[in-house]
Amino acid sequence: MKNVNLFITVLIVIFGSVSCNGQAKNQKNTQTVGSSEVSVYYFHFTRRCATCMAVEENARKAVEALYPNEVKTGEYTFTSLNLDETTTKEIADKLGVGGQSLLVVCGDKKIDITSEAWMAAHDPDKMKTEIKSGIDKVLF
Amino acid sequence: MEFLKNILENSQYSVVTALILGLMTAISPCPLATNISAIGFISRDIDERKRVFVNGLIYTLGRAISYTGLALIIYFGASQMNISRLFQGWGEKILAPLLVIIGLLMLDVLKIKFPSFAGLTEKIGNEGKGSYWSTLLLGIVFALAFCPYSGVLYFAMLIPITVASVSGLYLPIVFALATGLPVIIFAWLLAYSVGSVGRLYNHIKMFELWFRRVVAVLFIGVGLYYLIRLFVVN
Repeated sequence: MKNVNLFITVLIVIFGSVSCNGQAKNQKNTQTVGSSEVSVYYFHFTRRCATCMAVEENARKAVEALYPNEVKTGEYTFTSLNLDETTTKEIADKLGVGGQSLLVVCGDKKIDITSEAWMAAHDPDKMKTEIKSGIDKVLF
Repeated sequence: MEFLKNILENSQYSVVTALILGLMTAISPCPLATNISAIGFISRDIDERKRVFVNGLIYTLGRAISYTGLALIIYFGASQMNISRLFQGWGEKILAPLLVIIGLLMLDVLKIKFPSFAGLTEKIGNEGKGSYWSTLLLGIVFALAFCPYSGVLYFAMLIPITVASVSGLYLPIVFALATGLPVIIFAWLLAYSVGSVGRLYNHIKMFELWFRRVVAVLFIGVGLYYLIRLFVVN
């Protein structure tokens, strides 16, 4: 009986960790697991600076270039949200967003890459590295 | 800017990071405009060279008060999310009309007599020399007017290293010094290098009057620039 319980516990742990981890490992093979969605959120206000717009553009392009298949299937998404709009408030509160930010979210895991993204604003290659690093962090 | 970014990325010390972030803030378009206004404002007493330099330092002290005050509020438990959203969302919107109002006060077009600020408005206007208090207040207000770029540098980059431990609480002062550096340098140049320009006109009161008017127009101009950015440029 003890062994059966242990087996069930191990199964639960394995399946429980599949949500974000499993998908990354099987990235090249399939894009099936619905719960492994990775969302990259860019929050901004109505008024934006040139750098802020470059961050959005290059971050979006980086996600699309790095994960074309996942983006196509909707598994990985890039969303730009205006903090001045009331509809954004709910998700901004949930994610604890106070201002312009770039976040990578997978399930309950959240990585803030605002600082890194701002430094890479005008450098598409560097932006790709930062986006990939952020996504890897939420996945592993 | 690229040069500063390189230093920032390779910086091992938080004090260097704070300094570079401050310099990046100082030369970004939006705080640069407020700093230019501040230079105009503090150099209105151009006939008193030392005073101009002291004003430059006091303006920077005002900035330090704001940056440190905000960091302390967050350090002692206020929600960084709410503070950040409030100042990043509203700073620039309040700054634009404020600059226009200060300009109009300096031109004596507008005369507001708040009971507690009566002395202050007089000092800002043409009557009497500008007080140190008004310069301090200017530094405080200008620092709180976060623009999209400077907001990220302060809230997303400086605040995390500041509130991480009590030993980081001095960092906003370093940051403020760097943001006010252009003003301090200009104040120093005006005070000790080109101060003779002021002395040349020392006996001509008209110069000072017109200089104040130019500064007032500068304030209104910068205020209108912000208003246009707010309502025209998306």
